Amino acid sequence: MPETREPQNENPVVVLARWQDRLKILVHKVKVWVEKAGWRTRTIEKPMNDRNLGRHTVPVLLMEKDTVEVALNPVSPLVSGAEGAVDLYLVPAYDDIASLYFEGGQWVIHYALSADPLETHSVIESEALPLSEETIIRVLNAIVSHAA
Amino acid sequence: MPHNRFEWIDRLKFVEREHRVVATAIARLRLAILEGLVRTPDGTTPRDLVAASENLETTYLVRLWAEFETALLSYYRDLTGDPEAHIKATDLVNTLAGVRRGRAIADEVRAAVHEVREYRNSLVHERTDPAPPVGLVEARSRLVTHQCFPGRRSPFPAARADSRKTPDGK
Repeated sequence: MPETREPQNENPVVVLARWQDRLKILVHKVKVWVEKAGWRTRTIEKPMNDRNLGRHTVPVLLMEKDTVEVALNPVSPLVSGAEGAVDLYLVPAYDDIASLYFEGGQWVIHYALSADPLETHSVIESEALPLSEETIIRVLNAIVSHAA
Repeated sequence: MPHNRFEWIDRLKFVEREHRVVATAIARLRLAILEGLVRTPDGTTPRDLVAASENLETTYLVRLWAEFETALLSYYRDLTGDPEAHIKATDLVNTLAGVRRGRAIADEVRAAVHEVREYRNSLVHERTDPAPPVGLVEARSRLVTHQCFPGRRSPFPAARADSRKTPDGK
């Protein structure tokens, strides 16, 4: 997990606009990367009601390959130590696969490596890597291979 | 009340996350007390802290079920068009299990949800025949799996419809 940092005191409208822009770019990038790797995708808009940001929508990217379905699900721009968090869940149970944090001007993927990636609570190791085509595909492929 | 499935799923995930945060906080408080860095809050004893730790997961499981049941009732009221409709939790789970576009929720998914319900009931009602325990993470997994299916607004069947044919070829 990122280190704790002072909470943001920016105008919520600005925070939300920047968050939605970041998500739009993130979802587009990941969509392009995973489709190249043979994943089918669909983007939906998820309504959210945040105490600080009010009602708004964010994009959720659904990805599917070989009976494995994964959701890239935005959590919030207001998190400790980062300027936003997005979770990667295994659908339909919403088991945690990885979390993406926007840190230092880039997305970083925190991936809990476990003895069995589908068993998210026997974590034996974790790593944080800058998000790239290689890292996201590596994480997704690990899930597919363990689900097979 | 939200009607979007993702909002409800988020609420279940938030319960799980909150539990993780509070469990960590309690563990750290216990350690700090053991090390003599802090004392238990006024009017409490270390026994209360132990009890808080021991009961934490089941407390959150009861809350998780409450969120789930509220979500199902919301779907049910939406489906029936009756905002005041009431239905037993058992019937709610079974009724909404049958309304995924052309496909019923697998029996094992429904059975797994009932196991959570039974365990929650045994916690709340202190039954003499307690149900087998279900951990919070496992319970969330089962409830969200069920949550992904019922109703008519799920994005998942729509996503599948783009890429797969349903059994009846539609």
